[in-house]
Amino acid sequence: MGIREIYPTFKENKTQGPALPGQLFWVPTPQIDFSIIETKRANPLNHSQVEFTLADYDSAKHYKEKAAHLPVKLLQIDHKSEALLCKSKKRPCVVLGSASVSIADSNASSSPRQTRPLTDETFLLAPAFSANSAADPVGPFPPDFLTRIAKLHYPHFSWIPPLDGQGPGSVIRLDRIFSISGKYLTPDARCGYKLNPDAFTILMVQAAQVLGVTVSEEAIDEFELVYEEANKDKSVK
Amino acid sequence: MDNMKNTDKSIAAILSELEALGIKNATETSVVKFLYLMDYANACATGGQKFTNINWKFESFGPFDASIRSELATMLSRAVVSKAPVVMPDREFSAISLSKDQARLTFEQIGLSDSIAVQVRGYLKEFGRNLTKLLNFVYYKTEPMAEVQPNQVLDFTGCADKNSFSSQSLPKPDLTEFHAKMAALKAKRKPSRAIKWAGLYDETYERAVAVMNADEGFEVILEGSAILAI
Repeated sequence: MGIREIYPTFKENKTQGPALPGQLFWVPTPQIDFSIIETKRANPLNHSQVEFTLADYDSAKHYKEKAAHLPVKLLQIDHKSEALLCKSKKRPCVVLGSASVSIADSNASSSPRQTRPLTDETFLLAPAFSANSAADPVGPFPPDFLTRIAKLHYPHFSWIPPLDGQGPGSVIRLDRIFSISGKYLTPDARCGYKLNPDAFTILMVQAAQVLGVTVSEEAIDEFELVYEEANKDKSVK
Repeated sequence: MDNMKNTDKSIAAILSELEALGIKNATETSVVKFLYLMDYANACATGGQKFTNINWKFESFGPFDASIRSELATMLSRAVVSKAPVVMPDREFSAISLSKDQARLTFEQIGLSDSIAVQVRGYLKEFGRNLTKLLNFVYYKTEPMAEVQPNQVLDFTGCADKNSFSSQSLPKPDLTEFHAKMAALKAKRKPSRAIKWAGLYDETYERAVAVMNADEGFEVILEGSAILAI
């Protein structure tokens, strides 16, 4: 069994239901670099007019008391909070897992305000980045690098075939795992693809390596079997 | 104690206590916020009961009630309090103070319990000289302001007694057996079998990382103004 053989049922027609591990969704994916949006009232007596500046993060300045600035109630940013701005792209993301506490599970409080944050389901996602193609030849994943990734040479990169059957496919970046509210995993965000259990096991073995957690011996056995098959051709380094 | 009487005594006590702390230059804004904190502290300690009968609403981006402004106007007209202009390097405002011939009142004298009086006095000490900190606390750290919408009446029933929980009051079980079981489990724990990753971290890899990182962040300085709408 090689890397291509673990995707026989990659496509799925599911359009409804809860997001499940292995499914792919189009999700706004934040980049990891950001700017601080420094905000202050334009007029001390007016909460609605603000002046802002985009600034690089300064640990000596940000997330500290803003002595010279009156708070802007409408923005809900107190002296321990800052507004961030980061670029993002909508990317296919693999659902790795989720966490939630339902109302039925939570008897700690009867206050809607206190229970609501617990009832929002949060998903852990790994984004997929397009490999270089004729249409996009200057990306980070040229053919030689993509070959290594497809042969499972790196713990933090995993190859998946092209969603539409055309082109070289994508790279799931496990160095960019992020969490997001379940409200963004809407039916229209479904990609229509799901990693089958074999492919998902391989991905989770890699994720476990990235996160430093223990996985079962059986899962590592499966990974090594796929790895051996994928690397039988020694001509590619 | 009717509402107005209650409010004017509360204002007088706040101004007296600020004066006793050597804090001058109280403004209408800070007096209103300290009145709110007096009610807040009382509500926290009593399961939601305010000290005054002020009908606090979310107005002008903070807790407010028009009756306070009219009460202050009455106190000014009766010369119970006086206003004086204060000119600072960065701003001008009117400071409110209790007139010299008025009796000074403590929080206990107007009926606050000893512990609540200590709490409110703590607010005066912490925020009396720093309006920004006072507003930050009122806007973001007090339960009635947490999710209120403009013009809604503030709900004090969710105020929690911050002193009702202490980790010291938790039971301290004998953990000897727990530690022994945990040590036994740790001794049996096997790390995941190491995977030998074949990936090279060479020029190909470095080129890819450089491309990945090239598009991060904003390279330009961006500043401007914005109008916020509810």
